[in-house]
Amino acid sequence: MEIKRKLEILADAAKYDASCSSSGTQRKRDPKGLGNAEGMGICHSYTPDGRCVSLLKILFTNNCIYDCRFCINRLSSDTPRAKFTVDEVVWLTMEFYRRNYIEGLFLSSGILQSVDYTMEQITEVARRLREDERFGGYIHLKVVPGASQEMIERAGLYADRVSANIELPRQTDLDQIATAKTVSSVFDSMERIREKVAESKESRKGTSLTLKPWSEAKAETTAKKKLIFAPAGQTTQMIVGATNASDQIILDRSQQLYDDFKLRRVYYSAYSPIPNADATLPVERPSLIRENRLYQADWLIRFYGFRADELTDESRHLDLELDPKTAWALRHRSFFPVDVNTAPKESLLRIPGIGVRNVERILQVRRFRKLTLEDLRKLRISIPRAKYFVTTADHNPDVWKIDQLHLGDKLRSKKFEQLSLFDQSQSLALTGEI
Amino acid sequence: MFVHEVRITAGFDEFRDRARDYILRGLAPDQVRFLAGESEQEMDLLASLRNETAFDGPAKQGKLTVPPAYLKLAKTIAHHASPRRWDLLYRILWRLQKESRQLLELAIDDDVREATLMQKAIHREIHKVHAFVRFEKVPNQEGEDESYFAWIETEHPVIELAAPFFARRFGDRRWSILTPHGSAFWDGENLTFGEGVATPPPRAESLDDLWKAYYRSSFNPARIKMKAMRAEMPLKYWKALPETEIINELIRTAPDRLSQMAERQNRRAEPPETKDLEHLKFAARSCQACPLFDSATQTVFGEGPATSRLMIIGEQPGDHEDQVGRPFVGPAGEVFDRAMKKAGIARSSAYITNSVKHFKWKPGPPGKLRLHQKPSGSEMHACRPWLEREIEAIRPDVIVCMGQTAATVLFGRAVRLADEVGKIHTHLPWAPRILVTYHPSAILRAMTEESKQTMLNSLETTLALARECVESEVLTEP
Repeated sequence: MEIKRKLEILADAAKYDASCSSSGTQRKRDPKGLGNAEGMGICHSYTPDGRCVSLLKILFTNNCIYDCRFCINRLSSDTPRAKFTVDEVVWLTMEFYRRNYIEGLFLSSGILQSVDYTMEQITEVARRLREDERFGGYIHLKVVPGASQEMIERAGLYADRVSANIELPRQTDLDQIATAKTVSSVFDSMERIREKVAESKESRKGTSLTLKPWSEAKAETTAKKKLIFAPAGQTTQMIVGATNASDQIILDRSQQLYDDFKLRRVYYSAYSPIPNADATLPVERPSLIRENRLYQADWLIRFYGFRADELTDESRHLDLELDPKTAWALRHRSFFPVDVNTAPKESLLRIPGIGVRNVERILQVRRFRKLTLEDLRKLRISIPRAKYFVTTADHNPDVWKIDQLHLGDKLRSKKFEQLSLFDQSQSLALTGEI
Repeated sequence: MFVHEVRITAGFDEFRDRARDYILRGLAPDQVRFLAGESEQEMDLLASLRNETAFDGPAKQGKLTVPPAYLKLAKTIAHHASPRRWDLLYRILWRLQKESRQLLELAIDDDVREATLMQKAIHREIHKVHAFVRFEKVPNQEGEDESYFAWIETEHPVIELAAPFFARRFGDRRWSILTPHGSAFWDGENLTFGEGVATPPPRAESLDDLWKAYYRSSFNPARIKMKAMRAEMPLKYWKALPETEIINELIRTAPDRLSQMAERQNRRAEPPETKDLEHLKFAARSCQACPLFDSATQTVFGEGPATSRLMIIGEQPGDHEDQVGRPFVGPAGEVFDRAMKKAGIARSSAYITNSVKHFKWKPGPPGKLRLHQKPSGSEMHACRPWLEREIEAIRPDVIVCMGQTAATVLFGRAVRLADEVGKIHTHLPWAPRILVTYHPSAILRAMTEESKQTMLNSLETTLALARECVESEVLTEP
């Protein structure tokens, strides 16, 4: 099979993994090699579905011995199959990178023969890139749950980021559609990764954030001076809407993953109709808004001091028509209004329409002078959302409306919400401003 | 009031010298007007003469300190296309001296806001250049090293700020980046800058074809968000991006791709909610969950008592079974019957069925039988609910899977027969014990006498083992 056809099949098969980030590592280029990493991550292109193209995201093969019903690559699917050679993936990565199409490689795979055999194949690609090609760009490797300690250690040596996908929040969900997977085996992999990441961090304490070229860093690892292991940490993905798990169950799981395994990110992926899908899966695509709401709630957990258990309502779901922060505010009206000129940071973070960066700006500005409503507007804060919840140095004519019963309806009907809703899920996932 | 006009043509350093001089002379922002050097049409000879005569003497010497944040801001904004940038910088500089050293921290101040927005625009543009430069390999000249070039249009003249990134990343090869506002050249050691190039040279990068193929495959036609795409990848950059040539095609064909996906949905049988085998068998007669019903004579459902402790699963009915409507009655059935006898199992005591309930075949040569074909993944998938319902109805103590298809369906993963034959599998939800062996048809088709014997032995011993399991199960029952 020619390489173009393989690329088509194996990129198509990989695109349902939502993870795209190339951030979190700073590494110098090898003087004789190609590529570096500068921490930020770059989106090199965008497809018409609004998603960014940062890495060459492919599967090594979409052959798989498992039959997970949600998965396009499951054994019983009639999807066309292909398998790269190690040489081909190395060549594609180098040539694509050389033209500045990509930041690096995201490599996952269907399961061939056994978990460790599969891990060996994809790790070999990463080894070749680092050792033979002196490639300094970004590498994200998928860790297949159940991989041995040795394979995980090797993957983390070559990769910037590793991820073990949990896919669904509960064992009962997995039993329904991903029978080969268990929560405990995913946890097991995540825990092994967490340990190594922590160990690596500890060994590098006090040294520069910017890593040396890979070969030098490896020499230090071999000499047991400093350990390198997945400097950009680990992430995972959960599929939303393929089973009946509520948003609360999903967020509880995320909170646990952040707390217990120090994940950098949990990606949420609205279950998407796939070719050759199992017909018992939902026919309707779950709304992308739900996915977006989960991202927003996730940001509230990570950056705004919210706990997973205060974000949903009695239905145990997030409100689809309101961002979760506004929804929380409406359920806790007695918390408001918050005085932007005196309130502590934790309270400012809870005001709808004000993001983390603007909270910082407010704290900075109010050292010099008191803020008015107009000042908030100048900070490009969403006044239509924020105005019911704040008091400012001047008169705020809307703040009394906070006790109006229909305030929720009012906020729901706002145009601003819809704009931000449909078009920004991905960029929102990047900036997290709510 | 007399307004001094000065044209800045050489960038930030020139502005810094001028501004220092004016501040020390005490010229308020409304007494100075900075003109941007690049706006040729504004060139006003008189104004420049006036400027020259205004300060004929040597520049005023003296110390002028500014916060580091101001220098950073000014060096960045110097690359903004707005002709107002120098005036704005001068005004902020003046206010830093006269009003407050902390001015820049006041994000709500109008001047600070405007400058911050300009700075943001520059940072964004630099970031986009880092993202959207598309290198093209220069065809190798004799004796020359590999080199690359790219052309990109920018709104602001940022190439000097954006180029060092490429030196860090692609430093091992020579390259050039051309923009209308100026170009950058890397020779492997040094970065130099030169004249701009207004229009893109024709692109002839052979790898673009693979890149577009990747781009096409990464696109998910189930979600179209053009607005989000344009927000992040503004039209002004599209000329530099080879992949944008296929965007129209992707949008146009998305509905077709979606409906094809819908058509290719793998259907599954939907058996009635019952554990009554006769009822199930009747319902299965009209199953059309996969296309096989069309070419088969009839559904061949399992047979045997509902009280059976032993269930035996094959692959699919063959030519003979398809005509008779019962499992294992053809040549493979004879092999099976003999093995059952040898294992000491009465056929009537076991429940015997297939993984797929319709015969799949293709026409053979004239006068020959219809040729057996292996069911596809989606056909196995479609038929599987019938088998699941049979297992639920019987709840056997032991299941024997004959052949790879049956084992694959029950294990939920690809099975290599050689690895599983002879083992007692106790971890699967279908039955306490599951055994795997070869299919009688495989024995008929064996290429050598030796492999035939091996497989036949396995079939017989596995069936015998199954009988022992059933009997021990009965004995250990309370």
